[in-house]
Amino acid sequence: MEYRSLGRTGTKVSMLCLGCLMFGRRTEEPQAMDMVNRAIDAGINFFDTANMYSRGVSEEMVGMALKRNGKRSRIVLATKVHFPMDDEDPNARGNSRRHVIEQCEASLRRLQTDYIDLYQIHRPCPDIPIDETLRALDDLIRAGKVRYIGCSTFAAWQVVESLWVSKELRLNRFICEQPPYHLLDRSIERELVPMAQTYGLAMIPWAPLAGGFLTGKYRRGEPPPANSRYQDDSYYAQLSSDAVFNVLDVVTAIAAEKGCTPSQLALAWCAQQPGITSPIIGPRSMEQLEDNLGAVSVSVTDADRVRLDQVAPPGRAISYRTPISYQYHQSGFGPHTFR
Amino acid sequence: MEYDSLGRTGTQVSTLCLGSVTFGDRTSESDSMDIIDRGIDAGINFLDTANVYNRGRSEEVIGKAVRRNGKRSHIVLATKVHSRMDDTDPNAAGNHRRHIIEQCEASLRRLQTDYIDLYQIHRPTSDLPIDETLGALDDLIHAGKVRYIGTSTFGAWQIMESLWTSKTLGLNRFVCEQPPYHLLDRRIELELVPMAQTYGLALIPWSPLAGGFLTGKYHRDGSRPASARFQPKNEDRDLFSDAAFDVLDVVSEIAKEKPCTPSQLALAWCAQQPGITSPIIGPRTMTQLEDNLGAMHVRVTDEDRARLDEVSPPSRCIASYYEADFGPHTFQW
Repeated sequence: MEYRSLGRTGTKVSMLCLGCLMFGRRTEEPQAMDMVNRAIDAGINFFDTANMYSRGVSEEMVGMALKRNGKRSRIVLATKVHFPMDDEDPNARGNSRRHVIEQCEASLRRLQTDYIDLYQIHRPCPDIPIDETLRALDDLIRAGKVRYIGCSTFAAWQVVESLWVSKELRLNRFICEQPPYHLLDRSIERELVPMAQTYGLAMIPWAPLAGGFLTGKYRRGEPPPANSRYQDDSYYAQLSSDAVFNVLDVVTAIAAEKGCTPSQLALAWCAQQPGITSPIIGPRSMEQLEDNLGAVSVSVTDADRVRLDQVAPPGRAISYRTPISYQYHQSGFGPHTFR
Repeated sequence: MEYDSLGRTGTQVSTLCLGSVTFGDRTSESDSMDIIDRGIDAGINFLDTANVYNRGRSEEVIGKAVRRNGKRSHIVLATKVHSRMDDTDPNAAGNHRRHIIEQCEASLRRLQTDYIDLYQIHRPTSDLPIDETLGALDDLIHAGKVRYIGTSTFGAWQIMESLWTSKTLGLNRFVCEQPPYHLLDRRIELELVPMAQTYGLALIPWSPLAGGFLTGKYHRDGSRPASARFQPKNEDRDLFSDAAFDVLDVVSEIAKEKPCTPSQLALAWCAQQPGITSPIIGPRTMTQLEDNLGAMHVRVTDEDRARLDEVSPPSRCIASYYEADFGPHTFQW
């Protein structure tokens, strides 16, 4: 396994990060335990979860698995805060000091650990200024409960604003951003990637397989297969445009030439793009994990990239109707109520 | 004519800004001067040029026209620096102090004026830190040669970095950004527009008609007037794609219903989008100017916007004929 510096921190993380969204949702506890063990055996030392994944259940499973595995001290453990944890309580959500500190304590309990390695703000909030959030995160770092702080699905300008605030108020700064990034949505290449390269932020893309589209399991003109994520999705017809399948055709063709799977090619492409630290895989099953692990030995050439650029141009999103892109556009990039 | 504040400055500018990229070149000096007079008569008080437009000729024509017209004090005059002005001199381009100050003096001479209202950095460069550029611009403001400073075609993150720098160093800040924006390239809606709204920057889009494509003068079958800017030899693959013509079809349809011309509809759409101060028109002829001025009276409804969003989704790009240097930067500021 290749290890890379998490941005400017010097902490080394594996070039694949194991995302735990499915744990407690579509992956049962025993499978989740086995997958964590298998990933650690394969050299993955970077795990990502969030308080809101199955409202704490994902964190609990990760905590149990790491305790059982016994290698907590070797793991770089990332979680997140922002999304509602209690529908009845208007304060049980958001990026306010009150909620961030409360949820950090709760995450530590669920994860059965004394510290979180990377604590991330899951989404930007245009209605509170970033200094409120940064001060709370800085206090958590000083209290020893958190090592590093990061953000997820922030606009480049919002990250720069946060760096400005950190510098001016002498607070710890974000060292990592977790953006959506895959062959169907290359929007981040325009602003976020060059900004992150300039300021030394790590980038750990979520949904590198576009929610499973790039595995090749969905086919042009066919209904989604049983047991797939979009099988009951009434939007599927809109999600699966010709332009999307044109990209998939090239991915599949190149993968066939290399003798790897489409998902391995799509993952390898993502991991080898400029500025990228570790794509986050989100396997539901051991079989998917094994497939994803194979991506570390796939090498993407300049010629491959040129062919992919022709169907998925740099800096652009392919189809408005891919679900991931739609979320990126909707993610609260402002304008802000306060500066 | 409507007027609105140039961002947070309080200076009022007309809803349309008159651009001058063809002046002194494809538009003769006397036609250019007549176009400027007509623009001012119609209430336009915002003129935009650049040192590089025909290597100083556009500025010279504007200087002459404004002097003849006599209303300099009513005009908000904008120009730019960055692009190469001399092929044999490596320092005759860029965003460094030496070139900026030299070109500001040269622009003042060509424009026959003592001050520039809005002095803009024409493009970002990744090879020098922004404090170098801001330091020079701040000195020009203190010297009374420039009133306000702005950017053109910068990334939202680069502008945030510049605001940070200005605040920390106590320098004047950029008050305006000039991005490419039209119905075939809406990418600025993702980051630049909300940033500008948050920090009170004016946005004055260039190329609101996508280089003339949205006038309807180009057709799917390849026919076009002989005087049109894009001919088969220089036509852009994206701009002449089916997706682009699909947008044009909806623009033409809505225009016919109003009724107005497609260019008036496209201009009115741009001017009425959130965060937009004044689109920059670039008429080559008096006829084109008269057409563009008609956009002032076109109202774009929510329903029109929804129909346009269907073919040209928010924040997306159908045809980009320009990419800027958004980094990464060699230096952190």
